[in-house]
Amino acid sequence: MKNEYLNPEPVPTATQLSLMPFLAAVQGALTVNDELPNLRLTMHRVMSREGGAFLQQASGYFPIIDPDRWSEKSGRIFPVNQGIIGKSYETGAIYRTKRFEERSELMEELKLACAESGQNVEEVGTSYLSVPILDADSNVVLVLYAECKEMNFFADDDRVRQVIAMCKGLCELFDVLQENPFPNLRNFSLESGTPVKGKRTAYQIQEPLDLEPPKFEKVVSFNFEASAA
Amino acid sequence: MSEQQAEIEARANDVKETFRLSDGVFIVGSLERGVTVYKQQVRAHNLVWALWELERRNVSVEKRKVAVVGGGIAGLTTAACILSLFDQETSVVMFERLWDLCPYQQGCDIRWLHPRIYDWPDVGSRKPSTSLPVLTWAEGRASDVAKSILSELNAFGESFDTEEKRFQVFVGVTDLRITASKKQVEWKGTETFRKNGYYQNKNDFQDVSEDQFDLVIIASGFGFEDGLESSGHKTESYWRNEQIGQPIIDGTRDKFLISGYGDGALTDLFRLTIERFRQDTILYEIFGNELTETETYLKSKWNDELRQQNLFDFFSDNESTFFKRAIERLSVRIRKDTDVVLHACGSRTQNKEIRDIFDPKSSFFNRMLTYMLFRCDAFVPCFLKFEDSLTAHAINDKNVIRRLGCSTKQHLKTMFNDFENVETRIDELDVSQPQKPKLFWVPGTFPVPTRQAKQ
Repeated sequence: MKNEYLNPEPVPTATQLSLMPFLAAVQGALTVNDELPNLRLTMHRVMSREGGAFLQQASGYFPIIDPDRWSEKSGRIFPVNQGIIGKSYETGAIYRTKRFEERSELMEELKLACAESGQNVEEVGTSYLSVPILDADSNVVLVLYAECKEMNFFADDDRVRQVIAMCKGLCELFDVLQENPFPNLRNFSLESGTPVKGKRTAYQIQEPLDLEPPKFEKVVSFNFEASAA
Repeated sequence: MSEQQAEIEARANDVKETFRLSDGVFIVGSLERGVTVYKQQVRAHNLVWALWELERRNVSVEKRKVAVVGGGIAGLTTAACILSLFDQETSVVMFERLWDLCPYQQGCDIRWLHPRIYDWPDVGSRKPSTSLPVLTWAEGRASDVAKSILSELNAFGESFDTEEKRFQVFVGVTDLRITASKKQVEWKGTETFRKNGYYQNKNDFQDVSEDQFDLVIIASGFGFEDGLESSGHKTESYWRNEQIGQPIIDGTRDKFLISGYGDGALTDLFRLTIERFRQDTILYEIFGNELTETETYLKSKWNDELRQQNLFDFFSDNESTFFKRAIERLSVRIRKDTDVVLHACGSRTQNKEIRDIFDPKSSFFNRMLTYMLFRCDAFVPCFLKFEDSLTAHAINDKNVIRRLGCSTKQHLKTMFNDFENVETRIDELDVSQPQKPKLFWVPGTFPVPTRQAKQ
């Protein structure tokens, strides 16, 4: 009997739907010039469970490749220090894959990282981005995650600034909705918790960026649900 | 074994023990107080996870048969958790007394189910959905929740029992007897087969049978409601549709007596005293824009000590501050077509005055609303013996509602051939209340159905 505790637990559909158009728009912005091989884009949220804080994938991956199976990864729960999203959680900083002059250098470092994590180097991305979206007290609420197989894709500062600007727009919108919710559709607050850590930390190829991450002014947790009142 | 694994195993051991009646025989929540559908489901998740967690490192793959007694929401959740988590060699045989699964909530349109509103003002208590991995649902009429649960059960069946060999359901079960020492179940019931989520009789006759199981899990609820039919008064079961929540439409006023002061009785009190009462919206309606502030304040006060106390003085202390506007809003909504007597003397006639009913025998939410109604003179409390109350208040026999809970231990006793083997343990569980409805399982434990299975 094998189980690595990787099964999803439910994310309210209203929460997923709140994020999907935004992720679709980010996908569009990232692929405006060309198709991007193996792009995977999603949003994680901070949630708590019996006093422990975790990261939870709050949407399926964009682009949607197989509509029937697309949302199967939504709901997976991770320790807060998992991978590049864990780096953003722990530091509140934007992280991305650093620039490499030669692909061989990148692959060398990735092989070392994959040997440690047990992953197949042929299957992992080669360029990553993690943008934490903070609350007014600089606690992480959401983390935008992107990866692809185009080398140095997120080493482009202008591209990262564009994504940050889109996230700022998202923050402005949900701050308004926090104060003026739709009837029967609310952001039900989640309890904060003590961070739960695991083993799998970020690859060494990632670096922090000295750019200010996007921030909510009113939102402290992300859990939209349809309700009777 | 790593430190984390050791901690998980230790937790699973502790959790499993809280459900154990005897070796291989377990009970889900029947003896716990303050029970809700959600809490029963959490308990089912916890038990199955604990059983699985402690076995998963066993490499032997033997056929395993689990009896689940009870086809209500706790039993269905238990069965679905087993189908999801255990391997194909593990099968479930379910025994349900009535003729369909989830029979009580089906078609019930007068009861609103919310996962955790009775935990209010705890954090997250207003969240509408359970977010449980197995048989999840969101707030709604009991009939809607039943529909969701049965639909999800079917998805679990389609995903984890594709050959329809792992989940066998007997309905119309009578004469069920468990011999705990042998993990044996005897029964008389009709075997069914699953078709599109419905369970059809396989035969026209009832099988009389017995079988030995590897595990027996009792998820049969609390037994029959007490006092529904006594002394010439008939009260419909809590889950049966009736009309007391609707305005009287022949122009008369009627006087009612509600006997009991647990959550069930108090909900009927609200239906009879508050105009346009909706369990889903009342909290928002009475507190309005002050809800967040009030909730924050109450959360700060709702500590372990207060949870064990009678709340009358607490409500009184806050009457002119945090509850003032809520009471004002409620006062203009008292029904004009009913007079209501709340008969609350207690099972031993121990209660003598109104403050006695604010002991921790019902939810904070319901006690708070009851206090507010009392301050609005919306009902008359009565502490006489039952028959004396009827006479004193001239209550018509047809206007009596008795919500007295269930005789759970008696119900359990009838299920065992060897009750003496489990009696002491039942008493222990009844006193210690160990089955905490916290999410003990490791997040990500339960495999869930594919999207196709859900369609």
